[in-house]
Amino acid sequence: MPGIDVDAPGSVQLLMGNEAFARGALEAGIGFTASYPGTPASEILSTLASVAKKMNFHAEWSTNEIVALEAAAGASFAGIPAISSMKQNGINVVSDFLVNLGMTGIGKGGLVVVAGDDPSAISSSNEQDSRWICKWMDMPLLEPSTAQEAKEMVKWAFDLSRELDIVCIVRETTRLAHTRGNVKLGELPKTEKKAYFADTWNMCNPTKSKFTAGSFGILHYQLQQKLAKAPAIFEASLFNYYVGPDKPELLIITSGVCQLFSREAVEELKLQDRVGIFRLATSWPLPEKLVEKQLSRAQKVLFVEEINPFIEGSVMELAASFPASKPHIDFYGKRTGHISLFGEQNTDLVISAIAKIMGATYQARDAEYQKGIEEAAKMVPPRSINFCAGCPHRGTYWAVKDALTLDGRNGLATGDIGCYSMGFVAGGFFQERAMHCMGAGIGVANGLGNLKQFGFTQPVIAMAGDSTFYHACIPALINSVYNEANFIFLILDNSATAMTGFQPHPGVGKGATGEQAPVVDMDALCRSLGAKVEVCDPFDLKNTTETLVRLMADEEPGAKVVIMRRVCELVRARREKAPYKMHVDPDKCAGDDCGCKRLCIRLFACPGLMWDKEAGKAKIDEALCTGCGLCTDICPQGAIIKEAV
Amino acid sequence: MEVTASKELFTPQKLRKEVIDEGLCPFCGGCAGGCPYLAQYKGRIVQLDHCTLSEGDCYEYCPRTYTDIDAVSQKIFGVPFSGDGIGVAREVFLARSTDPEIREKSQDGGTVSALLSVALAKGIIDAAIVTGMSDGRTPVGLLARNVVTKMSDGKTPVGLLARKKEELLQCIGAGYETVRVLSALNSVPKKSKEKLGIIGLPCQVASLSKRKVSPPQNRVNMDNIKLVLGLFCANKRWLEPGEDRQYINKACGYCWDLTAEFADISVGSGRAKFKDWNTVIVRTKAGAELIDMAKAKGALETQPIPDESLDFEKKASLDKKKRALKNITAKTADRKNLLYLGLSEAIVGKLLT
Repeated sequence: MPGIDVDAPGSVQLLMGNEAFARGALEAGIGFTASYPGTPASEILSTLASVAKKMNFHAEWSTNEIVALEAAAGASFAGIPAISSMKQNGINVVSDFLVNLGMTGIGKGGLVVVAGDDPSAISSSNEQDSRWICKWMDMPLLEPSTAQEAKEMVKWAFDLSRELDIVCIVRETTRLAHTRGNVKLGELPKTEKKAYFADTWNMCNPTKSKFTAGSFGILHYQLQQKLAKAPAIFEASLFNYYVGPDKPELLIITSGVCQLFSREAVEELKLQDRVGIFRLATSWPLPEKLVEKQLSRAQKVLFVEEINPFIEGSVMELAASFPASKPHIDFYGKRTGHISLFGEQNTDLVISAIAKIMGATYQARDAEYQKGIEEAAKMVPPRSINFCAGCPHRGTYWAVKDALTLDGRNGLATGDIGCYSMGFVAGGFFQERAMHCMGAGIGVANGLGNLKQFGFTQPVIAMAGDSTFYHACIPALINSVYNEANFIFLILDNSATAMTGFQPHPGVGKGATGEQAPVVDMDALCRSLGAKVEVCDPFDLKNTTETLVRLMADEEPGAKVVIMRRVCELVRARREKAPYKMHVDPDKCAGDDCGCKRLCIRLFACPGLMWDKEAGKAKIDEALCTGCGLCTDICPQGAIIKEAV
Repeated sequence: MEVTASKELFTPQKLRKEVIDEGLCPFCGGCAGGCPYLAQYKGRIVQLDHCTLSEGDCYEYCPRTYTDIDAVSQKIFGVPFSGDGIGVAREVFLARSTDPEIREKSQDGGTVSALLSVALAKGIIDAAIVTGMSDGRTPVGLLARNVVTKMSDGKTPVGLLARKKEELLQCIGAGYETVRVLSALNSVPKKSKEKLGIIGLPCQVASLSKRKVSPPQNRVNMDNIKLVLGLFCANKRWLEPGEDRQYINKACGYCWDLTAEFADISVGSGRAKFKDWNTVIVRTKAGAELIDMAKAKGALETQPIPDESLDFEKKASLDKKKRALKNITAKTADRKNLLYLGLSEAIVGKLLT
């Protein structure tokens, strides 16, 4: 299969949604891209990075999203087209810069942000609709439905961005990001790019450069004037279109992947001649004339969108301004409960909404088939969220659990975003008792660690991964030094951004395009901030537990950092063979006579351990065991044997 | 991963609720050894994980869960519990080891070490479970479970099986650090055929006695225990090596037993002018046989105990019983609720006057 950079205009490629976004950026002639990983948007940058050297543009994994966007904006200021992609959390992280960027404009390069929303929070700590930021900060918003549209709209977004001198947001949701579709390729521009930061001056900003957001109220007015040009452009856009009878009984207004669900739903119900679909790709600002024209088709309107009633609200606001002489319209959607207010949409959900409004009946499957499905579903064994076999985090959480319990003051761990977020469920022995956003674990610990005057004696362990450490923990660590907050900061250094797919970060010595990169030494950095730093191996349970217990008992003020250092098992397994061959000695494993109540599979619960029902003893699952050797130290009988390979 | 959602109170929770949280735990170690969920740590029994056993040994053999004292006495001596001074005694005398090496290392007269080495030499036991010091390594399998306080020299106390006199001698002087003896017993493989001797404080001997009355299913056969040596305990012991030696576990105020009344032989200090001697109470036939052997072998030097010394031991022992009963009934505010103690009304009446 040819690469994403194939120069074959007119040819058709099967591309993942995120790859299509990347291709759109290439066709728009970008010179700069910067991101921080986050599902569902991660593959946009990794796809671009894979061709960056060859195509002579800059691609980087930045320390965090706001740095990424600021870097991309810098490029745009100097005339280089730039794109930054991020998940919904990233949109929050960049918001402070973004609002100021609205005040100054983005320069001649063009600046596009792809916002990846994760309905149902499949790979997120939250479900959130990023689109509001466009209404909030006066930015144009595009919502493609297919991979082809993703590519085209990214290209268009660059044009809009330059034309309006505004950041243009293109929004995807998980299904679009990760579904493959045919994409007809366009041309790759071959023009040379030259970067230069030119002095710019305008009437609204009495400084040497327009890129200085200042206390000039007029800058906001200027932004509103720029955005006011957008509806006229959107009115003419072919991405907004209507399909259906001229006067349908029901008009569906939809955007993004929900357009596809809506079309399929109408077809399934065979209501093509009674229901029409208006697909609105430019969901902010509204092309009001076009919307008004579409609304005049029907007296019943259903909104189908993911996640919040964004278009629904905007359109109803518009409708509220219609003269009383206009026929009344019944609006259906999230407000009326026909479409759920949260979670991913799908064809079935849209079918039931339409059927309810139209009084239609619909049975997706015959009863016998449905029964069969339900029977089959019962055969799937239940699985709980867990760390991978051989994951160092299992060792860390085991030691944290033992240390907090031994200490006996009902201490707690505050966590962060990454694989180790699973510490709040059984996989991490329910140790994590606060989890919010990147950097919040240590942030919250700064509060808990300064409550001594209120009789607070519970030890606090803040946890963060290595990538999260660089992303968002350093100001909080400085704060703990400066304000003498008492807690232990655990950095779970597995040398990877494991949760999102092993992207490199400032600590691993590798850049986005695979090149060697300088290492930012986290140990030295923490020491230089004035923290006591210790390094533990999470697989050395005894030493790790003892270290944590000792530090918890340490009354001396000052920041304490423990770096739990062991490379992600998935990364290690790609590089080298397993260190141990594991087996359970059936003579030593006492089975259910042990009294341990299957501690190894019930509590420790590494997927590499299983229960041999016939023998009534523990057993290694050779297909899953990675030979890490950790379980040897948790069996009370010493029945799990590791042999060095 | 199985997740149990039952509301049933499992044994470690019961143990915590009824014994530990009530301040009754004497820290004998009978529950923790061999159990992966319970650990001994700095004078506390800590439950590390959720256990789903509904009838666990930790609760059953705790000396502070209900104990029918008469049943124990019947099992060991074939007579009911009298509640008198020093308990069942065939003979009481002063003794000390004749071995200079033992004497030099011993706290008092070295009688315990002398008796254990004779028992080993004569094949009465194959191994003695004692507390020794190791250079920081705990037994395999317990490696990560028991974080132990290191001694100043970096060594950690472990319960271990001494099979030769030389091994025994290495453990002398650690005699009162018996916290891991029951752990070591719990860790002896179920199918082991070794004959065992064990040394313990009164609470530990009580835990052992409960095992004798109602033997555990999945542990080593209790019949393999051929010898129980009890140590006098007047409540002044430190909880873990390295802790403050003056520390008195408040839970010991609820203990009635000064002289380890359910041992084969109980050994204490000779006190005052006989403090390099031991007071020895011989209680069972097995105990008497071992004493005879030790005397015959010349390993033990004995002399009669002066009347005033014997009276002192009897009074001290009875006082401890009375004090325990007083503390218990003060706690429960109910003469009929003696917490863990199953005693006849007659004895209670006698002790509470």
